[in-house]
Amino acid sequence: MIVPLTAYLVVAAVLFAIGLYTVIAQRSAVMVLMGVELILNAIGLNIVAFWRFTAPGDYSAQIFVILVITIGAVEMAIGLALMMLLFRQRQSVEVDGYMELKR
Amino acid sequence: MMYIGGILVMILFMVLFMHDPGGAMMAGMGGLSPPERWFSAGLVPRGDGAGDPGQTEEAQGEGDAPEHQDEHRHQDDDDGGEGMMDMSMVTPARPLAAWLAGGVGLALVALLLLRPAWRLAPSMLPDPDSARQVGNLLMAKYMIGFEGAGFLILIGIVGAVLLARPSSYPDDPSREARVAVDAMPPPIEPEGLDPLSPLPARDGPAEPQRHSGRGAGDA
Repeated sequence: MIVPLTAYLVVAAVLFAIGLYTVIAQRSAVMVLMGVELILNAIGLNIVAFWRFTAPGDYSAQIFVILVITIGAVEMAIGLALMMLLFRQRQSVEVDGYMELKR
Repeated sequence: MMYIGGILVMILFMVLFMHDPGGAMMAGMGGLSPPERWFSAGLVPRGDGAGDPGQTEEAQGEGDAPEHQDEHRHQDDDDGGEGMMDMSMVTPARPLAAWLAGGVGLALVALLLLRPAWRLAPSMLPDPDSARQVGNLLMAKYMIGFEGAGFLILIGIVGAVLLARPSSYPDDPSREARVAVDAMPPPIEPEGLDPLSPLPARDGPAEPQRHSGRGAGDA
């Protein structure tokens, strides 16, 4: 059985929407980072689906996805380090508490 | 096998959320917007267990008073009162976010209706030698990107370690300069302050203790 391309695209769209909601609505910075990861994974799923169904002979798409995952990992590491620093400064990782640049 | 593990972890999270005893994780779920109400039909926090969907509307009606309490808590947070910490997981922009995310998702799905006729490749079995092909491309055609990603990882790890390293001198001034802090804390009003009693928290419930101590020294 071949899963059609549309199914992959629908799943990726739903993942993207969940990630967007998470990024906007969650207060904890950990959840915001998880939302960013969801968005990145939706993009990766789209890329792999299009590679598989339109150009399965060209492996450039897989390399692009590998680079996207790599950069997502680096972003997660930096984000967690920043969160640890901020948590040490003020004992909270809630993103709507960081208002210093708005004043 | 890895996918089965991931799905099991997600089911575990669902069980944790639904068995949340005091409803503390769902504390901010008072006024749900319709997309959220549709998605979280059984998750509305109530006093007595999880009920049938017929009583959900009543639960929504009863949820008004806790919502007002929640707003009060937000105001207290802004004033810097140190009463109850606001423990809700979501920002006040949550209904807007729900509408926006639902709209974007629906728009992305709807774009599939008017998609162009992609020239789909004939379905074929995956190439068993694809790892070799990917490795060859990674080492020949995309070598600049590969090396750049490696360099980015190196810089990222070094930066993360520098940012988050545990220090034996956590009060060292060189570590304080990395995050913006109040250069001049607001002065303390002297009236009604017993000098032996601990200082009341002024701005922000979680300001480190040494800043207020230094402010007292300057005043």
